[in-house]
Amino acid sequence: MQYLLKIKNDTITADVEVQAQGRLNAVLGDKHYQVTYTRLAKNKIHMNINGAAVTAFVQGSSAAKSVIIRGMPIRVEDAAVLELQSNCKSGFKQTDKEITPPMPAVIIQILVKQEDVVEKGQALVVISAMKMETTLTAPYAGSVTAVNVSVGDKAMPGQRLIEIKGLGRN
Amino acid sequence: MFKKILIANRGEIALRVIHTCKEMGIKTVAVYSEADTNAKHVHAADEAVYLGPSQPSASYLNFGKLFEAAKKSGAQAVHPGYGFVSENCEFAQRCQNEDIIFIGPPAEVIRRLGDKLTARRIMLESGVPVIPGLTHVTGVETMLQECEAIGYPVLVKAAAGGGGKGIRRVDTPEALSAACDTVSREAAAAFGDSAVYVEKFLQKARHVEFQIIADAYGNVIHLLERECSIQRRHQKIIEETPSTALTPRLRRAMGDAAVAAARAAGYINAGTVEFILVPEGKFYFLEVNTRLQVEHPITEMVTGIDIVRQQIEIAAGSRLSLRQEEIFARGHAIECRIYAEDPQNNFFPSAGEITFLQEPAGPGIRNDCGIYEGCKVPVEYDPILSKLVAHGQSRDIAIQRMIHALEDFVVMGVETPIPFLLDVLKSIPFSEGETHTDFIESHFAQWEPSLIHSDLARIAFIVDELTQNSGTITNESTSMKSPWQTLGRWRP
Repeated sequence: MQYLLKIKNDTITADVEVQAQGRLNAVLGDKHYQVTYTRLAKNKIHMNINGAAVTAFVQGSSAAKSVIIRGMPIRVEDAAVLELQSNCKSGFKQTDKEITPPMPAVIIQILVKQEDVVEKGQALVVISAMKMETTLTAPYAGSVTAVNVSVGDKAMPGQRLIEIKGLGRN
Repeated sequence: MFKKILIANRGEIALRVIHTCKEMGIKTVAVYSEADTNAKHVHAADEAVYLGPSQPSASYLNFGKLFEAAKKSGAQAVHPGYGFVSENCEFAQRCQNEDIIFIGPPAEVIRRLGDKLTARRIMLESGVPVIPGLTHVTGVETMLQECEAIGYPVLVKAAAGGGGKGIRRVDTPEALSAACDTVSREAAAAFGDSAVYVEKFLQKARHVEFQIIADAYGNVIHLLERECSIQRRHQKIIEETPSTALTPRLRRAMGDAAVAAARAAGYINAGTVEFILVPEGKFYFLEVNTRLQVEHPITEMVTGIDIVRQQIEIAAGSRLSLRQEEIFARGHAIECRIYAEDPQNNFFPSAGEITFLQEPAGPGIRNDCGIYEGCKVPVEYDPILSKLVAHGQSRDIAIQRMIHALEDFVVMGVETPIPFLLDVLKSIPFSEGETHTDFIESHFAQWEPSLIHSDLARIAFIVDELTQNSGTITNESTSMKSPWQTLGRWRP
């Protein structure tokens, strides 16, 4: 899995592979880390990172945490979660050309099928997130080339639910 | 000996006094305001009396409430700690009137030494060297003339001030008049007395103070010095003993001067004589603090003497059992004051609830801590959380000990200057003992925390996310539990 972790103005992608209980590999930028870990208490984590013992004190949410290591506090934010939260606050916003949910959602209803011709603004799929339903619409006129989900599926931002080949577009 | 003592204070110092009382088998009475209802010092005492609303004037500074608490509880003596009523001669006088022993010097001594101008005069008359300056308040014309003679820069100070408050530096004659007005106005507001005086500002100075103890029978000794030069805006943040600047000869001379000063003032009980030491090895009287000092633990660590116990015994009428020849220091001790302050935000006070606390421990570590996990840090008072003290065989060992203790001291929920203190202690100027009162300005004026552990912090973030529901205790973090956390991550 991937995290977009921001400290001050510096955002780095962390690619994480959990190997087993208490063991993971992480690639941060171009640095590789082998980590074993265990939670000692409510805010206390003990890790071995590339052979070095590190005890970290952590408090916060999935969006942002305060981490203290060897007396130094550092605030770490998950840029992706923060973005979702800010989208959430301003309501559903369909991104421009892609038919993708703005936040993790569940597919409630699919209103088109492959090869249907649709008009700009036509309803395509109904999704539900945080107990609110919203409908994703066609950003341009065209024909449906793919329906990538089924009712009941969970969908993530970035995932293309419906693909439309626009008239006069590739 | 007293059977019951009321501690007219709060936080870490109230706890510290309670400790010694318990050791001596003396019953303790704590007092508390609204904000301190569940404070640590309240639980630690044998009994606790509610004073009133949180503002100091309605509680810790309220004579009526304090005396009512003393009467109600049957306390025979009051220990005032530091701050609040500890240097209030009216309070001490009222104790005398109401037949309650004030654990400190006589009211008259507090009054005379509390007026910095009177204190200077007493010292001058007794041959204790004082900083060149004016000892009497005069008009601006005379001040200008005198300052010419003293030489700029000068410090304009409030006569009723002390503890680093009510001070302005003046570099040119043109700025003198305005500075006097400012200090005068501030002094009137803060201390109820607008009188000011000027003193020569000494460059590359060190603030070195001597602990003195005197009994009611004329015996006065000192318990060596404390170096308190690391200050921010005239407030001490790191103190140590012995001072790296004192030769045995200088120590003897200053110690003798401190004792002479105490005698000149008719001092009884514990107090501190503060000096300014300049590079040429000359020292000058600064002021006398007629109370227990915040930084007294470092003296206790190197001498092995319990100063609070001495205070109680003297107040109970005992003779001083210590002789000057017996007083010597072993090793080196350093203290760091841990305030609820944000070093990244100009040390602005940081109120809140202590959501996590891990205190350091180990050989030579003492933590006088007034907080516990789950307690709230009120906004109404001085935000001192604890005093962390490290004692070691040598200065280098004490420094290493302090660094590791600071790294092990974890406070979450409020900001603390711990990262700043770590950088100061690890610095070369500190390790070289080049501690003058301009230390912070010179070396740490634009401090920013280092992000050396950035990647480790990112990894810790990830591990924290992954282990949310494992371990013995679930993380009741401050987040709103949104469905997104239960949906989890399905990144490809």
